[in-house]
Amino acid sequence: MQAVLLEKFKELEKDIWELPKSYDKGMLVPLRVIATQNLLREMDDGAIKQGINVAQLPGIIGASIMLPDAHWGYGFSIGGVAAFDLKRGIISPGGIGFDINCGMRLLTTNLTEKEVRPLIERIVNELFDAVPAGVGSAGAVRLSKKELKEVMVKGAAWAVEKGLGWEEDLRQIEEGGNIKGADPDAVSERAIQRGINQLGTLGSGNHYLEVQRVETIFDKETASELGILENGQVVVMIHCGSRGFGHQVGTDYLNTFESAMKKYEIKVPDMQLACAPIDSPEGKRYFSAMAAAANNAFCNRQVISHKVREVFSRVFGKSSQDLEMNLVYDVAHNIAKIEEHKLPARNATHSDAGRPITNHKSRFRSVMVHRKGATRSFPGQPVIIGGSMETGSYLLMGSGGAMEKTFGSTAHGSGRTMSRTKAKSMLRGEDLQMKMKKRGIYVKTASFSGLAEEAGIAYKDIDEVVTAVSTADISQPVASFKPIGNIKG
Amino acid sequence: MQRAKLRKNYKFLPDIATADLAYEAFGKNPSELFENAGIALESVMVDLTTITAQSIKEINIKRNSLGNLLTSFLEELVFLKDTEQILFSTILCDVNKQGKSWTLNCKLGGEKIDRQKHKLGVDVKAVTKHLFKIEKLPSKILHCQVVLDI
Repeated sequence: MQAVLLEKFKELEKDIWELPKSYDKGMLVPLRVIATQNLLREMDDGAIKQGINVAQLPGIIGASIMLPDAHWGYGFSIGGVAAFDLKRGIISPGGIGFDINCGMRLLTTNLTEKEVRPLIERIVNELFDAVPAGVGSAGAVRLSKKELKEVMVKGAAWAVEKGLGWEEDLRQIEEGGNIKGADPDAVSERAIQRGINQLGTLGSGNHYLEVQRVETIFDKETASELGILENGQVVVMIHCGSRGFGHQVGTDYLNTFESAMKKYEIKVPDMQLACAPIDSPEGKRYFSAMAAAANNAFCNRQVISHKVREVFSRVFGKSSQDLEMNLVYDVAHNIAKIEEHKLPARNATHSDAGRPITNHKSRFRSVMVHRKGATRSFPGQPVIIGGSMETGSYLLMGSGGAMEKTFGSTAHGSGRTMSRTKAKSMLRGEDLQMKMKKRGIYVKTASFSGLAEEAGIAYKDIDEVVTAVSTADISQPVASFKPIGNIKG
Repeated sequence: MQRAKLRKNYKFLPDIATADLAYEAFGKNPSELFENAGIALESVMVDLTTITAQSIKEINIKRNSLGNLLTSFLEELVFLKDTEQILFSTILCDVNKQGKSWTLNCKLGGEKIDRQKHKLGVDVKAVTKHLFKIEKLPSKILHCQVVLDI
């Protein structure tokens, strides 16, 4: 970040920084960034500009929030959170992302690294065949249009009903794997056409399916409750979303909202922030379509989990129940939801709106929280922060601090620092694959150029991201994981 | 289809949109600009030299502005990748202004994705409107800037 901008930030408390709304006359609320001093200094100017743009959207409440993994996306920064008043506020596809309900899922096993490592190539190769990945990949589960509409409404439960999961899985998914209010009629024929053959596919970009070992346990009691019992235990992490179905929903409503903005006389600083009032017919319809796409994503990760269980079962000659392949949690990181949050009372002074929400005038209100590259972090809820394929990932627990400071949100990943184009120009995917193999990480990819784009050097230091969320007390680490096998789309 | 559009009249922009992919394309006229912008998008998903024009598709689009026409065209390429699993290496565009509208007639030559044969890149999820622009440069060359969601 440019020094002239950096010096405008004030540290409210350790690792919580604020750019006052006086910085730009269009800002309705301040910009609040959760980051170590180093991460704040290294943050892209483009991402900060996006946080400032979000602070200008109608009906925004409290602050435009950026998390330590924030980086330059489109519309909102990736790693951005904003809450909007249900009457005066807006809903924006650019605050959610095209990949609606892109999210993380973590499965345990009772296997150890010692047992898995000798078989890792077979496991990864079989996973690669079972879970299609990469450009235009189609899934093993073929749906009729009627079935896809059922998926839109039922989410992960559709897969469980079809025998592609366990009943208890549903208790370990955000919202039980089913966002209420989904309406298939709000979804276009084009979205259906894009989604109909993609259930059970991983996609591409930063999506992955990874076999990991437990590296460190930070909170033994909580880890044990979640089924993380010892160092060296093998777990499986899945990162993917709603695929072409969700991407098309985003595309359709971005176009719808462009004309709706004229109707509602809304002006935004970036067309990717095209939006409509939450309470408008267009806004309500988008929410219904978004919920349908979110449910599709929950179902997609459920189907992938089933495939993972099948592969492990085949390789180890035991049932997935005997292998204790339990779902630790499944959490979305690209979504908008109506939630109750503690806010300054309506008669509080305007300046209260930008402060940490801890004063005596607070009261609970329903708001529309947009999380783009941000994870819900409610107290007692597991949080999964996925790192780069070279550096590892974290399991955390949501905290009360998140409810007071970030509308119940925390980071979602380590966050890019280098563009895809630059990363690709610096190394070859084939070389990276060999280098990782030497380090004990067996990688299978649908695209070597895509692999190069996801190299560890393109990402921030995940340990520092976790330090920031922990210091700011918006979530607390439970365990960390290191990859031993990885599938990249 | 004679014009194999493999010459590079587009450029990826490494310093924009860290997580996604930004590029600019150029053309002497709207038709050429569209062809180059389309080829740039396809080149993100596949090494174009591994694709031949075995399958021919035609698309026709009408929009109220040249910018909307370009984004709709690029969105259509993404749509065809997911629905028909086809990637294109040859794109011929005919862009015209008709009254207040802009029209595109486009012929696409490509192949169904074959993981053994094609050297694949990364999937394009969507065409964003972030920093999107289409303009005439002082040199009279048409220029566009596009950010893709990856």
